[in-house]
Amino acid sequence: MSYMLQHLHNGWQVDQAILSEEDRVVVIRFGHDWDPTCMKMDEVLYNIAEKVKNFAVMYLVDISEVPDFNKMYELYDPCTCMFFFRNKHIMIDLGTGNNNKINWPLEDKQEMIDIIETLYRGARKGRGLVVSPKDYSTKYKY
Amino acid sequence: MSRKRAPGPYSYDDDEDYVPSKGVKYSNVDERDPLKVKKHTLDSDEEEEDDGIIEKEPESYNETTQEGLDGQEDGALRLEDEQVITPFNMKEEMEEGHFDGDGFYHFKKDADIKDAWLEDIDWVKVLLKAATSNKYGNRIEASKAANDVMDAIANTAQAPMSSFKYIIPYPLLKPGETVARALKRYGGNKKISSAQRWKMKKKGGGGGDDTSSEMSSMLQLTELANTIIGGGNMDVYQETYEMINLKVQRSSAPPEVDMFGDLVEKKEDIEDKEVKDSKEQKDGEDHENGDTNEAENVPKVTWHLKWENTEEAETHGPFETSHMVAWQESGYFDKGAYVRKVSDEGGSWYSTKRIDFELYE
Repeated sequence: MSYMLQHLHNGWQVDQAILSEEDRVVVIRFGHDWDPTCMKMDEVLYNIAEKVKNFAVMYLVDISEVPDFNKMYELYDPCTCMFFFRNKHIMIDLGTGNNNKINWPLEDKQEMIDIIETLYRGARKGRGLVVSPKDYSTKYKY
Repeated sequence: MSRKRAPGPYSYDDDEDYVPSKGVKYSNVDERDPLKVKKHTLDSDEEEEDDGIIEKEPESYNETTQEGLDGQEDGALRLEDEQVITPFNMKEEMEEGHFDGDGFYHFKKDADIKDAWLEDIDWVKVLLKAATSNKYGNRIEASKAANDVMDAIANTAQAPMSSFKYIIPYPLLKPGETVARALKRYGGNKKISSAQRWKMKKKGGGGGDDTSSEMSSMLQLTELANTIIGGGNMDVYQETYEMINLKVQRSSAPPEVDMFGDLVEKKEDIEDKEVKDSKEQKDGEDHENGDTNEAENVPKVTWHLKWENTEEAETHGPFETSHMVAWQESGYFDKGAYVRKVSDEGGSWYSTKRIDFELYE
């Protein structure tokens, strides 16, 4: 479902997308459209896009097309999801040890909605780190 | 004659506009050595003997050294008829500064830059004032009276809205009239004709009550208007009943809420929010009114609770978020509990250890 979500094609667009949203979380999936991991992630993101549209917006970034952030955000996984609110990167304690991103295909839609909602509520209250409702320490593949 | 140059950098010191003269010669007499006659005078027909001196000409400016001053005497203090006399010398002065070519004395500049006014400060007074001043006067060296005025202004600034509210319920203002007009109505009209006076006298004390109530209304209105002016609104006397009504309505309108029942913050309001927050904290009356309005309009997040994450475990609830917060703080959930939002039917149950209920309030 990658074609249904909006893509960003250069670093400037990514910056603008993050800067422009004042009231919503900006979810950016870094990866490739053709990668199976990303395809699963994109499916989930597309399905929940309508439900969370009041408090979140999704964008897809191809890391070969836009390599500007690869080093900065350590985008070494096939699929990475990062979250921004009001031009600030918001961290999530997922239990995995890496609080900066979701770097595996999270396939449960409700869990993803809950994560984004918790993130939105926490970020609105000024928190830079939120705790995800579910612990993923054992489940995700490294 | 070789000359030792006095130490010290070229500096302006406090005389910023003064530029020490650079070889401006007012006379043909060399000031350093009056006995020497310069080359280009009429008297110097002889061949030049002192090339050394000429080579020394390009100096930055002429400094008077200790040796160049006449009349100095050596020796320390000495008594002369029981009077202590110090022989003339410039030792101390030359330590602290130098004379330039024009005879102006310049103090030696310290390494750190100073403002001239710093030397004039009486630090004892400053410390005393700092001790007695309140938070407003800490950096401002205000007198006690000024501090009181600032306190008064700060207090009144917080209550302009409540003053407005007072005017309307108490019918001090009539619809269609400004504050000034109302005051005139209450306080003016002292011209009573002789016939009216006779009438009043006949009635006895009947008229007296009316005038006193008018007086008190006038005083009340004046006082309220004064507090409003103190809060910064200078035009209150020209504002009509309707305008004030509108302002009060606008300030107490229920704020917009988003899907989570949180206040929607528009771009403009984000900056105003700090101002509003501080106002609302002090304006206790308005704050309570606002709260009750919000509680009724917004759907609250409610939770189901169970003690084990199994199918058979009994589901308790629904509970309001405020209860969950209280339980979480009291440690009720310490042994582990599982919750789920009522709106999230069919979803998975989350451990309370990872849920921060305060976010959902």
